Amino acid sequence: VEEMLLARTEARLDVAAAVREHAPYVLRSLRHLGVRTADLEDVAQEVFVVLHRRRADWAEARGSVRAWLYGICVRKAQHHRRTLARRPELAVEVERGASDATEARLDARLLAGWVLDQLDDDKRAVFVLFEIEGLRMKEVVEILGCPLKTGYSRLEAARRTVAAAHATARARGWL
Amino acid sequence: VTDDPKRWAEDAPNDDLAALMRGMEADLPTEAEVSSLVDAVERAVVAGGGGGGTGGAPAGGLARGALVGAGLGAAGIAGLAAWLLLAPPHEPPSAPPSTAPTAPTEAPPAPPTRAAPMEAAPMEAAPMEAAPTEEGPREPADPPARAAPAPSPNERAPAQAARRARRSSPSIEEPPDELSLLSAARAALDGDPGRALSLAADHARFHPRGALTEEREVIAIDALAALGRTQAARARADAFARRWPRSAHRAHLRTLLER
Repeated sequence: VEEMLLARTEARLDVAAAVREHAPYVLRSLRHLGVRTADLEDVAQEVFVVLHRRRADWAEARGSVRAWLYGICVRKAQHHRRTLARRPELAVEVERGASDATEARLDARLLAGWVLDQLDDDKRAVFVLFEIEGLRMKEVVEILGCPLKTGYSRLEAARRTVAAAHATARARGWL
Repeated sequence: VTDDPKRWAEDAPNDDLAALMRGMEADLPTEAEVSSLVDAVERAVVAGGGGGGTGGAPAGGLARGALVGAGLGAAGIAGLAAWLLLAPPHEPPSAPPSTAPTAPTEAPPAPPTRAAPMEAAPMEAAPMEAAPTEEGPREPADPPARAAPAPSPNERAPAQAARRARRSSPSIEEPPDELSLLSAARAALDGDPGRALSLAADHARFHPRGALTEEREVIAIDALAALGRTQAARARADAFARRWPRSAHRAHLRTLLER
């Protein structure tokens, strides 16, 4: 029994180490993938619980843990966004955040969120992983499970949308 | 790879967009956010991880306080001694003589009936709960800063725990409180490291998100070393270093394992 308890304690220490190692980019990418601040920790927790539960899988997987975690992040964030659409009070909060900002300069994080919110899920994932997380397109399309060519075209489209959104933000005096 | 366009952070159509991208890239979580997440994940993993039901899930809201407490515990081995020895098991200051939980085996006042809320009372009664909020929870402070506020909640705790225990329903099992367990474990280190280790394991089981987790690990590593289980001690010390990279206990552990 003692050994079991010790093993469990040590497993928990490993969990803590894994979270510390991967939390920065997991939280950053989830945020940019559209998870609201209020839900960020909950969703990130889900990601790491999946990591913990399937640690044996990724230990044997060829790819890096990081790429694998991005895949989970994308799915969890998309699920979250669909949930968000069904939760009007949260949608209202987001709207209010954006319109409040018209009265003052838009906070950088709010601006980033608003700009990225103009993208649909597919383009957003490509944009976030390539532009913000700095992955190569080859890695991005592996994570997202789409052809390379699709990845490039989504990036192009996402860039146009982001540039247009940013120009709109400027025109509205948000920055 | 070479087909990839340059990222906007490096080469954007205009400076605003480049700044926007660099801002997104720099939007990393704070240490407090990471710590909070570590806490949440551990809670979820421990809760969902199966294993003996009693050791399982601490109540959610309380676990956060417990992490705060773990940070508070980063007080060096001297601080640990202060924590544990200021309220030595045999004579807890200012506690009613008969009710203070002097040893873990005496602490559970009720017959062992498994019940969901069992974690609640001892966690509330944990001595660290009051102090961390005054001190800034996430930033482990220097040992002197820790030592000062420690005694007062520490002194009150046994009495409070005892009162709480008396008040609560007799049908609810209450695990021994953290301080009692670890005081006993610490006391056992010199003569009976096996018992110290087993008490530390009890602490891990009863208080998986306890406020004194860091201290528990130090005691367990000490005990393993004393038992000659050097490899296990070393592995656990490594895990300790990863989890509490800035802990003041690390110097002690290094010295311990050099021998």
